[in-house]
Amino acid sequence: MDERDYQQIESYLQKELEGEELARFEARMAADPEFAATVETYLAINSHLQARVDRKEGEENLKRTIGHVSAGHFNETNQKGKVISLKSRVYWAAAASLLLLISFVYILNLQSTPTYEEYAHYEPLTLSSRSENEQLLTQSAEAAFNSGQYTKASQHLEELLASNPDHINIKLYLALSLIEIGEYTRAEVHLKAIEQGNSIYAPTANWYLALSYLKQGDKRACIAALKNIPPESSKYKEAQELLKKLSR
Amino acid sequence: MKESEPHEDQRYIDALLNNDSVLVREIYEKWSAKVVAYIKKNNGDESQARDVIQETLLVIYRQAYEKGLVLTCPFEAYFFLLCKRRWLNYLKENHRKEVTIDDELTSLDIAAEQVADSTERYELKSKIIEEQLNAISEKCREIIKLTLEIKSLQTVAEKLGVTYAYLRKKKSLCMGRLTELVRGSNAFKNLNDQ
Repeated sequence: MDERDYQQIESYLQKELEGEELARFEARMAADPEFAATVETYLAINSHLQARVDRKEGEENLKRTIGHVSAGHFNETNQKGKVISLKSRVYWAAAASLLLLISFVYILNLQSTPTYEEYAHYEPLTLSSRSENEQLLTQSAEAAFNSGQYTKASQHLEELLASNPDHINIKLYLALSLIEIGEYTRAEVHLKAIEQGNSIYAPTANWYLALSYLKQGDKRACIAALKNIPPESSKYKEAQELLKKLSR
Repeated sequence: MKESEPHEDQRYIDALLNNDSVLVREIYEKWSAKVVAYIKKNNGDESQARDVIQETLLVIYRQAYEKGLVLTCPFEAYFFLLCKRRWLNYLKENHRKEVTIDDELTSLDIAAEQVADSTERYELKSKIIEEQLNAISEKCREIIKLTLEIKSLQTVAEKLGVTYAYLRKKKSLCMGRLTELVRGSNAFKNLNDQ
């Protein structure tokens, strides 16, 4: 490319080429791939640099917004984290000092140990109507879960989850089915994903994690999961009750 | 991609374009925890995750501004994929190849892959142009900048005390030089070979 070529491209960009000149320019682009590629890059660079200039103010404003939101969001979650960790330290200290006592009382009072069955009461599964070809599968999953056929339910829910990987309710009920049939590890994978993925559902996931540990007889893990349930959660009351029983 | 219907989550892209703080907050509340968890699990910490999220949102904004980004998949899948790849690139660039990544980088969501690819290519192209812009002369940079800021070449010519014809020629030569440098760079060639 020489000087004249670039001047022509600039004229083309400024829409100054007309009639025969424009036709010649376009014909050359069609016939000469090297020329066409140069024109394309020239225009792309121009549009990129132009956009950068034009959005300068908007980008600065957005940067500020993101900065504020980010700072606010992370400070909040960190503060929550700190409160919990402080609380849990107290809990652990209390738990440790109680441990000797408990182990003594425990032997005398075996029957008061809370069981999974006492707490495992689920809302019936109802999934919003999904796409037409999944309707049958959805109904089978609901029927199986609500009638306590958890192996079947887990298979159907697994299938549904494959095509709706972000559907929290499917994931949750799949986990519950897996706990019921003793597939704890697989259940925990789903529950932990929910716990980390979305703050609103995290307490619910923790509650069912706790129940899974309870069923497995892992009291320590159960208590730890229960303590992750914040007061604003609908499971808080039950969680506290279970905590009390567990540390009795 | 122009013919595809945008996904309902297009509103998050629009929110970035409109500087809508309510929806930006929603993005953070819904999805930042997932990014933080991922980065922490893969040799990073929270402050690095914050940077990754911030940079990713800005790149999405820039592409949307310049190219009119159309989202054909859920925002979460697209956003998470971009954050993941950005983090992996960071690890690679910092010669921490020995680290193991606790996840495969491909997503099962093909639509998300495609949109994320387009964003990555956009960012890469931008980077090449910015780099080569630094390689041309100070005077050229100034002329290009002024002609883009003040859209009238006549006004710029008056400002610089040169004739319109001279400025026009000079601008096209500076842009020509930049075009040559960009086209000659290996990164640009690789990008076009993909």
